[in-house]
Amino acid sequence: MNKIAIPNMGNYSIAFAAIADAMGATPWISPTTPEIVKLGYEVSPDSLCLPFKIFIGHFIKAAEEGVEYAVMVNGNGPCRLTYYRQLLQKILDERGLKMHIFGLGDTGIKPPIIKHYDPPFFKFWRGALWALQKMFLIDEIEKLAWKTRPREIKKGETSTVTNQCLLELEAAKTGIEISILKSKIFERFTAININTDKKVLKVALVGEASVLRDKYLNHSMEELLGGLGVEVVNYFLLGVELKNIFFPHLSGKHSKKHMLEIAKPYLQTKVGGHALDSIAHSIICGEDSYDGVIHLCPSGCMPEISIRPILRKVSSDYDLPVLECSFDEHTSHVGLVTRLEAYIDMLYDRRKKNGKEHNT
Amino acid sequence: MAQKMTIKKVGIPKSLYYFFYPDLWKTFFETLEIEVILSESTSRKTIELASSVAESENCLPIKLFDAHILELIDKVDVLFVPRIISTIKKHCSCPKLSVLPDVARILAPGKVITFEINENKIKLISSLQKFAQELGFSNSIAKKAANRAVNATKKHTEEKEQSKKTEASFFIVSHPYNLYDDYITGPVIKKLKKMNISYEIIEFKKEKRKKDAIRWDTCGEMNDNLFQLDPEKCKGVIQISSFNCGCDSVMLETSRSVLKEKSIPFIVLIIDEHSALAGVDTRLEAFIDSVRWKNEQNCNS
Ligand code: SF4
Ligand code: SF4
Repeated sequence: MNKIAIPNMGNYSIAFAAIADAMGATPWISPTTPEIVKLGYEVSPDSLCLPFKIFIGHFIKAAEEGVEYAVMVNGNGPCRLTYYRQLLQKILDERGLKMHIFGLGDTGIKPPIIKHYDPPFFKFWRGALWALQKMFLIDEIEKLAWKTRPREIKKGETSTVTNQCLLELEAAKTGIEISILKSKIFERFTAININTDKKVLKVALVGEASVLRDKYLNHSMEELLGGLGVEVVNYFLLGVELKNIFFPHLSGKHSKKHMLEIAKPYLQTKVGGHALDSIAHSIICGEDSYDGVIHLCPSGCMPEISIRPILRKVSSDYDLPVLECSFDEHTSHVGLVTRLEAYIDMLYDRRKKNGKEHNT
Repeated sequence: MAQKMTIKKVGIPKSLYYFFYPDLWKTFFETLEIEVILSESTSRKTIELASSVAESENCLPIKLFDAHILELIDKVDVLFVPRIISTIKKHCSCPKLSVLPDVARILAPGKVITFEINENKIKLISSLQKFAQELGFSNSIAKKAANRAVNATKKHTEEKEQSKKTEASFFIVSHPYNLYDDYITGPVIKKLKKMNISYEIIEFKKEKRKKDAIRWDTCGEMNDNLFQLDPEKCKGVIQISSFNCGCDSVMLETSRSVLKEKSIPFIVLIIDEHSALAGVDTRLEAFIDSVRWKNEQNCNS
């Protein structure tokens, strides 16, 4: 049995699966489900944050299916994530589940996980390269979906095409297959019938990674907004994250240093997690005249909650409406949809009003 | 940066860093001949203000900070709000403390003076001196202020150490800003006194520690103290923790297992702006009764 459990990261799970493959392991990845959430909440201390509960939910489910290994990022900042691998391992051990969690990041050039699997050099790097290719293609697919969905004529067509592309990408085994798919993807999206005259709103999603990416946790917010005629930009991009972890000096515009520069008038420290990114990205959106920003974070998230007052200031200075959404297992779908609809209505009204103002 | 001549009165909120570095700030500014205005001690009023203005998902200490700042704004020329990254070498502070000046600037635009406390990069005494220089003071005055300030807080800790009672049966842990804020810990102390219980409150030495399960400065030190407790002497541990405190949520997991191993009874009193400490009374009483009962059982057997 050579399976390894990988936490859900939305569409990026496909790229993670490819990495596992390159190491010679079989990825175990599941969408987050009510069952997993329930498992996670049952075993977790109440006061820990949502990602913890979801991680452990996935790991327990996997362990119960006989998976013996799991992997997650090692935090090393001032936030709770730093301790999570240890705490998760403790819960697994206490429950007598035989699963070992590998940590990624900050463990040197040959992290324990690579030592363990010890994949042949060439095979691993070739596989890793393909995984990277997949990751960038996921971004391409998402960007096309964000643009197409609010303008589609036949409701749901974009999501169908997106899912088809993602499925094929997941199945692609070699670099050549990935390249062939790449050329097809663009065609498929352009084949979708769209209303080119439609005035759509542009809204960015910023905040904490797991709620930005796990579609179960954020109630498929990208799809919901697309359906409401909103072009979405999700600011959590894995490529950017990886660069920031492994090649910080190469990440240019998205480096923490550059973001500190952008955020400087409002926030002069990195805080932890993605809080600096939330502020910097919101400022960028303000400068680029986005219609709005939605800030997603797990309830009680230390860094994201602590910057909320700052986010409100950015919002008022840039005249950029920000919707704050906290998520936990109690987040009601109906409640969220109602809030989103009201928010989007308000953005449309502003457009109209501002439009008129421009005319006078 | 503000000029020396313009600052006559500096405001310091009686919250967070005020309690964490006792006597330090007052000594520092007064040596620079700047009058220090403290906010009033936390009261029902502060709590009410905090719950109406502060971000609702924050922890109580941070909410109270907002309220204390608001109270001071009109009374002073500038507000002093440090950026706290790390108060002990090789450790880090709660991320919420790193954004304090940024948040304060929103509440009091143009009025915030700040410097960074980051023992991982530069010792407090040196950063204080640099701060005074930035405020426009000469090298020698800055040095004097920094020295005096650091000594004042050292002295405070030493005096406390000496006045320590020896035989205490209960040990109280929490962050300094909970412990020394009378409104928060007062009811617990009162209750213990009323029940005639001897107690000891954790002292923060802020010393570099060896290897730690927890890298956060205050939580790490609390945890360390719990590790060292002697089950023969300590009858129970009382931790006061703020609702939505992220650091405590992690630390509690370690505390629980440490204390369980030592068989020391443990209670966590959760505070927020609604309950403050109402309801704590009965829980505390029940806890102490159960501990007493347990001890009697042990003696009888
Ligand atoms: S960033 Fe937020 S969600 Fe992530 S570990 Fe920290 S508190 Fe939890
Ligand atoms: S340590 Fe806890 S109580 Fe203190 S500021 Fe951080 S979250 Fe709040």
